[in-house]
Amino acid sequence: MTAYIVRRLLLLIPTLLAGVLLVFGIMHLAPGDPVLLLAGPEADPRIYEELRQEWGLDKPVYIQCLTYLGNLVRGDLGVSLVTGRPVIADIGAYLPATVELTIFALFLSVVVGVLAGVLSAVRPNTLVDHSTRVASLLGVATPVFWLGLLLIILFHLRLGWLPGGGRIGIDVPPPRAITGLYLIDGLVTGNWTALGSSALHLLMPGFVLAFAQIARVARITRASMLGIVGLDYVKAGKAKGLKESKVVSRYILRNAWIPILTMVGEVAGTLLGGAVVTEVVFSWPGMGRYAVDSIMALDYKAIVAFAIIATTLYALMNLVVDVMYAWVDPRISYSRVSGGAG
Amino acid sequence: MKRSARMALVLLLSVTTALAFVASAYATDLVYARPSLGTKFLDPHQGGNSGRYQNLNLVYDTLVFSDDNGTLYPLLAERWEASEDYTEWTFRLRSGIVFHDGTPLNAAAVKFSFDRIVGIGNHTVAQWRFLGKDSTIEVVDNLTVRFKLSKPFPLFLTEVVYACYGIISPTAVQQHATSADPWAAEYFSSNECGTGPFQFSEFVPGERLVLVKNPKYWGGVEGVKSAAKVDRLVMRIVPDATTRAILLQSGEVDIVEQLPVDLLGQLATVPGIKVEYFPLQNFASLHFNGGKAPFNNEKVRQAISHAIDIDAIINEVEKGHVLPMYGLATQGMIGHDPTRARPMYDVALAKRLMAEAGYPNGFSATLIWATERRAEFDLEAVLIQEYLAEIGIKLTLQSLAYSAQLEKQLNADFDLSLMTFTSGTGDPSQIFDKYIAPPHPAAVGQYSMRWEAAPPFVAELVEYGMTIWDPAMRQHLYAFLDDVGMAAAVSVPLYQIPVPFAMRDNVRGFIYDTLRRSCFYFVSKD
Repeated sequence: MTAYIVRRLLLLIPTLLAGVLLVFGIMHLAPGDPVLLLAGPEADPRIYEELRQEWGLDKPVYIQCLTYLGNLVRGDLGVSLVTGRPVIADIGAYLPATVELTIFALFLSVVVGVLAGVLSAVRPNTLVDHSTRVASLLGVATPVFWLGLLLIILFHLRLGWLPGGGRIGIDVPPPRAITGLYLIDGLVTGNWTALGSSALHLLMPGFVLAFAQIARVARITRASMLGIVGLDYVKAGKAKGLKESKVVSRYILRNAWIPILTMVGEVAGTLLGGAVVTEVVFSWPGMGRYAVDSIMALDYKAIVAFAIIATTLYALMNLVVDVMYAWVDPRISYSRVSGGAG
Repeated sequence: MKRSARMALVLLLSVTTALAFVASAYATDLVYARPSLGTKFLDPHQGGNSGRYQNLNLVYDTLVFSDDNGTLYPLLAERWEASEDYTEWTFRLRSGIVFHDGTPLNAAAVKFSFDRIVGIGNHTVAQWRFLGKDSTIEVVDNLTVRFKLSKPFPLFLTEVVYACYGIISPTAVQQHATSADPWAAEYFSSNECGTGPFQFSEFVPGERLVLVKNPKYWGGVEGVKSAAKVDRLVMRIVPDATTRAILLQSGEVDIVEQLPVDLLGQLATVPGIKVEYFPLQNFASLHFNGGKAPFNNEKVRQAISHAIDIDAIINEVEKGHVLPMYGLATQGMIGHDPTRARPMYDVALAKRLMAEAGYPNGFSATLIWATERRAEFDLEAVLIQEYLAEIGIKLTLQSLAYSAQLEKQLNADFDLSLMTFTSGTGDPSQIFDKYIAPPHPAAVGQYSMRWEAAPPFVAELVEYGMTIWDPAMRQHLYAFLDDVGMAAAVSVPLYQIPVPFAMRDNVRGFIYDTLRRSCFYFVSKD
């Protein structure tokens, strides 16, 4: 197992390299010149030249790329053209917000989605099943920005129960940064004000983000379980006189986990790259907004760094899922691989 | 066990709810929402656009200040004098002013800030950067500082009024400087320390910038800059326009900027909310690539200016939220002449001009613009396409990212373009140099934006305008240049864009102008 994990982690290196090359290539082909944006159209042409030299943009793109890779190996992601701060510091500020939102949304979508899927599968074509399926359809079909605004209008403007956006109240300084996740830092440092405020701020964007995923998880759970319900060993279990709950949880759900897990892993990987629309509607300072702002400003160091982080997280999520396969299904083993699975 | 767990949950929820709505620790709070902070928002001496003045003018003071009419006021400098040839400028500073960290303001601190601008390589302060490299700054005595410039610069005072010439605390810079970063550029991209009416309190990237009242502010200048009237100012980053409007309605924010025309219309009818407009020297116009056929033909340009019904655009698309233009000089700018006739919408005349120009059947061209600069351009481009179809011009529409549009314009790789021009200074010299003057030998990339076939006297007058000071004389000069430019239809000015702000109606005294941007120090709340 360890050998397998190490091998997968090593595979990450060429993946990242390919990612960096790809992003550099696209940036080079895309129209626009960051220097014009930085100095503005009214600037003295000498300024453009100076800026190009300062940022190394006067060099051929392969030299720029090699310089970047050289710095990357030394752990230097460069300085953002826009904020003037090291890119790593910016990501350090934006990534935890995304991680916090993702974990919460994922938790919500797995718990609710699996539950709804199981209910649907156990009583197929009944009222419960139909209503879950309609709800799932709604979840997939509802535009995120519309749902987000609707919730803000209801819970913030009309009822006044929840804050209208942001990560923490304006009167509440963020808790001392340990993990960067406000809930955990608030808990660890005993800062209850920060904990409470950030929890309230998390509810709406977390739900909106989870809403579409709940539907996906529910649908795949249902489909996956229905494929197993009719199998002989399930019938045998029932014939043996086992309680239905036991049949469902031990015989069916346990065997239906693999496709659910695959999808959850994929969802987690995607969400960790940031959810732009949700972040914009709820003023959430996450990676999606950071990436879009950087792209609009052609802030290439920030864009490449974002690509690296997003690729790494996605690959790691896939690895975690693959490892969990073995844990969920003992028939899967990575130690005896001789060239097959992997 | 189960019961106690449930009890604990209920307790936790009620405690968090109570804490979240705990009253603010500040007596008066002003919350202001904007879509983003933009480029290098916090450090006066690093690059970035004039949008940064909103923050910089609150935290930093400059030597001299000016209002929108160009009147100069002493700020940190109590008086000044220039040598006859404008190469030596001596400033006498006010005594007793301290920075937010307690460092006293003196001549050495002023020299330090101007050295930092050159050292850090700020790309927006080109004038001083190129001048400053060969010039010297002398600390005459504790409160007297003398600039010895390498060449005459009569407009030195109108240059140093910008917030990017703000004076920073040398102690704070030195404390956070490293060998790799001698001017503490990294520290000051998330911190601030000046002498202004507000001082830095908290910066959470992507979320907010919090400033608090500087209780020891030296007082400022009556009507120009004053001590803060609110205890705390929170600049919240709210990227979505609809969310900004909702937060204003719920009272979570007090002032909101950058709302589209339709949302402004809705908010104006909500009780408790008012919408105010501030006429800045910003305008939208249709540009020609004047270096290229057929747009190098004056008659073609005139035809286009008569083929577009600008009033229809102003009334139907902009719903009257903008002002008409009588030339390139906007309302409030030197050279503005509201008696000048605007190009009339006259399709027959336009057709005749096209025929005279040798294009009776028209031609094909492309119109570029960037939605991110102005959302209304999307609709206006379609209207212009229809208007020009009337005189036989087949327009292809191409919406671009702003960066791509800029690149195309600077490489003269376009036909027609919709642009907004934002004056960072309010002075006409910038606009006329850019639009009316013929191509500069130094400005290689900017040919497309200039008047290729301008008569020689135009360049001389534009140059002359930068060396004179007398406002009456400059009014005549720029009004004349504007006549010449409009007659040749060097571009089609569409409308002036006053900046709208929606705010709670208990907000008093909010002012927004070219140089100072938001004067939050004048704002109070009932």
